[in-house]
Amino acid sequence: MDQPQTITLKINHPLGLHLRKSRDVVQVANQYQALITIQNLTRSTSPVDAKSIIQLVQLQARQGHELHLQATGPDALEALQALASQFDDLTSAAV
Amino acid sequence: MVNLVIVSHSRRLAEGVKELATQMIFGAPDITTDATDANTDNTVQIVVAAGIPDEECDNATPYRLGSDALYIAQTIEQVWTQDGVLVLVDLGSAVLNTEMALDFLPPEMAGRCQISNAPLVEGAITAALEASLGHDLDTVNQAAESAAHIQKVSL
Repeated sequence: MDQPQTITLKINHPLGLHLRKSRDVVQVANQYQALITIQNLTRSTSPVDAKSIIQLVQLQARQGHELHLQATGPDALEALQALASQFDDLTSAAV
Repeated sequence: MVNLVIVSHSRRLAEGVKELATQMIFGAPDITTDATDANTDNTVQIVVAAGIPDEECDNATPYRLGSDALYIAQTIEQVWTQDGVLVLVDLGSAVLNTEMALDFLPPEMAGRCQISNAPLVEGAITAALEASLGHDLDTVNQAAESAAHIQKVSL
């Protein structure tokens, strides 16, 4: 059983997790076998599948929200690293 | 790769839906405007079968409001592949005319087409992304239809 990999990050972008970024997250997530979930800690949502655009939209992640990413599977670490870099421009300080 | 056909009463509505959905396609999208230019196998094709073709109508485009079964059938044929075609529709007679369009097609072709129950905007966006990931017709449609249940505003 692989140990789940997790990361928590905070959205600082004024638009939150917007649609185009969600698209990129889904496309990156789909390149990995790992089961990847994202949870909006601020809204206390259930974890949603990072490979589904519709589920990501339902996170309703706005500026200031904290997201918790978890990946389980053989390529979990690589998947989380790739996803974290997708979030880079959303998590840097707000302009 | 599953291709998409957008059916709407309004030409301009469908073009807008296509414009938005195109943004969701994997990789740098360079989607052809006309079905006739569409010949690649590695990118999702999104085409519009919207309005009723009418050269004489007093409109910005040579289409008046409405839907036309034959025109829809011809458009589906242009982007049809073995992977299938998902047809996204707006309302009412657009649905009826799309059903009739599938009756016009040869059964082996119609058998690889699905009319989606998805809401047009959310469905098209979702379907474009799912199709560009290489998912099959059922998967693409299920994802699009699940868009009917999203909550836009938190309670």
